[in-house]
Amino acid sequence: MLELARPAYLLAGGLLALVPIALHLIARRPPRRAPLPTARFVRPDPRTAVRLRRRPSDLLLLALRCALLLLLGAAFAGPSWRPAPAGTVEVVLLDRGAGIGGAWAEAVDSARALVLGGGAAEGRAESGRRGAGRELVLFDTAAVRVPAAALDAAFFDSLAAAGPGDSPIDYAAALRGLVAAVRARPGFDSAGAVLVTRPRWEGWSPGLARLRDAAWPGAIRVVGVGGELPVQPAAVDGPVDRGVPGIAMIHADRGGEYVTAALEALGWTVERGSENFAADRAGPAPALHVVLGPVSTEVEAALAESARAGATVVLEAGVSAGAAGGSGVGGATGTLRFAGGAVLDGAVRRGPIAIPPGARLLAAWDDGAPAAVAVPEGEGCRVELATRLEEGRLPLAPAFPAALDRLARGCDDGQRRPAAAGAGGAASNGGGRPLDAGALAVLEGRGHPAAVGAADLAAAGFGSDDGRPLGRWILLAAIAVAAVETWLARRRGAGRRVGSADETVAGIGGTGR
Amino acid sequence: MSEAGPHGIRPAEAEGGFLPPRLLDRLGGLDLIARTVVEGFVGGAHRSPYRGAGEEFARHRAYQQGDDVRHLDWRLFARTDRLFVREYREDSNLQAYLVVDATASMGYADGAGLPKLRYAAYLAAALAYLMLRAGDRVGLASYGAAPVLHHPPRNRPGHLHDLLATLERLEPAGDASAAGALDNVGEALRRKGRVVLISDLLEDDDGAALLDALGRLRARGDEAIVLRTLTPEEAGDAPLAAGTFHDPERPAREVAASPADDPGYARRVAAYYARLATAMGERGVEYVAVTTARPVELALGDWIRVRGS
Repeated sequence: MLELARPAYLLAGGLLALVPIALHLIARRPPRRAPLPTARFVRPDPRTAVRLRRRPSDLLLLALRCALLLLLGAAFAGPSWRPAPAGTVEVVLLDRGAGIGGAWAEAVDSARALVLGGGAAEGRAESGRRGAGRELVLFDTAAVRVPAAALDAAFFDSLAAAGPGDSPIDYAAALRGLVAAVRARPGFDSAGAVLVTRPRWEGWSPGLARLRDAAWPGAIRVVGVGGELPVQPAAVDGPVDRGVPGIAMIHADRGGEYVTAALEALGWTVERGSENFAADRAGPAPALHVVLGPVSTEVEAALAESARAGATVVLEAGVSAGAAGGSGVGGATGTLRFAGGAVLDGAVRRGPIAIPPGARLLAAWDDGAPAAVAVPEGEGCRVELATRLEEGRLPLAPAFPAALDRLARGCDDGQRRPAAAGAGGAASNGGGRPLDAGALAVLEGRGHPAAVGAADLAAAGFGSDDGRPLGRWILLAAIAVAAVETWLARRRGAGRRVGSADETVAGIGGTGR
Repeated sequence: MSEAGPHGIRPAEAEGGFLPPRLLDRLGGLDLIARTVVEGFVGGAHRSPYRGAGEEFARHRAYQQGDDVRHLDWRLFARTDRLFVREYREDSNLQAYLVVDATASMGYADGAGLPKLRYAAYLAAALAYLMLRAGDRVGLASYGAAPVLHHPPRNRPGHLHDLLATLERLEPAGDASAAGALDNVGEALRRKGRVVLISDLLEDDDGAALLDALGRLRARGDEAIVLRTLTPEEAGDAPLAAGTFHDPERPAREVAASPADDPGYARRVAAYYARLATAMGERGVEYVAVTTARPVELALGDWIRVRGS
């Protein structure tokens, strides 16, 4: 099936093709250039210069010119050939984390009904309106796509018998699995997603809210097992609160873009610190200061004051006067391991760090040397780091936002949650605690379409939706037509010139002898 | 079924018994054309203006049916028992100059018709044949790129051949005025004579210099005859299809026009030549307007009519 991404170009080409048709209908005199000794007695007649023909002149040349314009229009219209529609593909994301517990059998039955079209009532209802293509993705902290050939009743029986895994879950892994499954599926009209899970805080991770929207442009139907789904409060009907942790301030003469991006992904509102930030700023005080590079003593004093007032101040290597080797990092490199599990792998340059009394270790190098410590200071906290945050490829590491999140939490050991997770989310680490309605709304992506069209998915970065582009071939055809047209026009032009010369000779010198 | 005539021309192609100009080309050389035209002219409705017999005996000729029996030589009949008529050389002192316009404009031909220069050559050849036959001395001049006196007036054996050969070689070129050629002819004529100008009369100055030159000839006492030669399209007698036109003598100036749709075109052409004809009449110049579509014999007849009026 031929599809045009920009049909207006083809329309424009068609309209432009009318121009040569009109020009070929207009005949310019002189069709006849003739000598006339009594020319002094004729009066100029402008009507004889242009006249309208009944039939276009030189039909072959006209056809070539029209074809050229139409081909150019078609080439720029973004034509593509798409195979016959393959229906709607539905990706079923099955939670197999340890936390699903006794609801595992119910979860497998729901997944079976969704994939095979039988079993649970909800599954039967789903199968009635879905198309043929279905994908099954199992996830905990990672996601695995089950080959379509393996999806039969026996597989689900064995899955139910095997029981859930013993790992926690990460909804971010489910999202990654969803994206991978859709990208791996060739040819479809639209795609939808179903998440079979026992919704719980255990699967929530920092930045998930933003990852959710970036990963999948459609809604995710959540099939809850192991209890009732939380009810969406009537009051929360507008835009969902994505849970902004607070205001973070970056202090740096240059750089800071990577840290800013990561903090914003974590939900922080990031500002750039000035020399007199404490006095300049109106409104609530920043909850987090990240200091990249040396600062003046005045700023350092203001930062200490902010820490004592309750803020967390993160100082990278070479900033803190208390840090050994305050000049920065050395030539040695290592791998950073954070207490929360984040690992910044690779050649991270490291520097020495002192451990003040009362400090708690946030991260260590792979040889056990401390890499980041948190020191309580008044109501707040001072975090010192033994490397530079934007050093080398460190900001490009996948775990960079998680590491930054851990640094931002400073002296707090608890699991910070987005505000959208509800009042209890921020204070509680309850891994098995059910998601509240706000977090569930974020996960479901309410307001997004239930099924996303192939073109929308392609626009969202899910590949070329299997359309075979034809533009370059049509452009080549247009070039070929242009070459033939040029050759033919020159040949006709030369013929006309010779004819005109003959006519002149015959008229003037053709005396019959 | 029509039979082809002596020159391969079918009678149906003849117009009123005369040969259309476009068919004269089939006859061959100008000598045969001139002879054919004049024989047709003399044997037709017109009588030769040079029929008067002279006093000087020229030769005997075998009697042919229709010859005047008064010219039979009875004494020779008595000796030979065959009939001969006596022919006399007409005693004439007339010198004539044929002046042929060979400018570029005379190369023009319309449709399948003859170029004007070719038609002018027919006219000149017929006139030369007629006048030489009448015993006149005939010269030839032309003007194209410049005025040229080709042959002085003579009447001797072979002179007609020289005249016709020169007429055959004329090619249209240049834009010289007729006035220069007429002045040269006037100077070359040692006594009063006859000047026949065959031209389209398309002069740069609308014919002012030409009229002056003709006036000078008439003042000398010369007889001046002008055979204006145009194609029917030029004269406005035939439709002229639209196009971009240029004067062959002024090719740089082009005019996009449709003369067939312009009734003023024929009027302007007619007015131009009417003015010239009037001015020539005032100077005692005989003016005959012919087109290349008219048989040459009839054109000669037109001239005779003008002369007789």
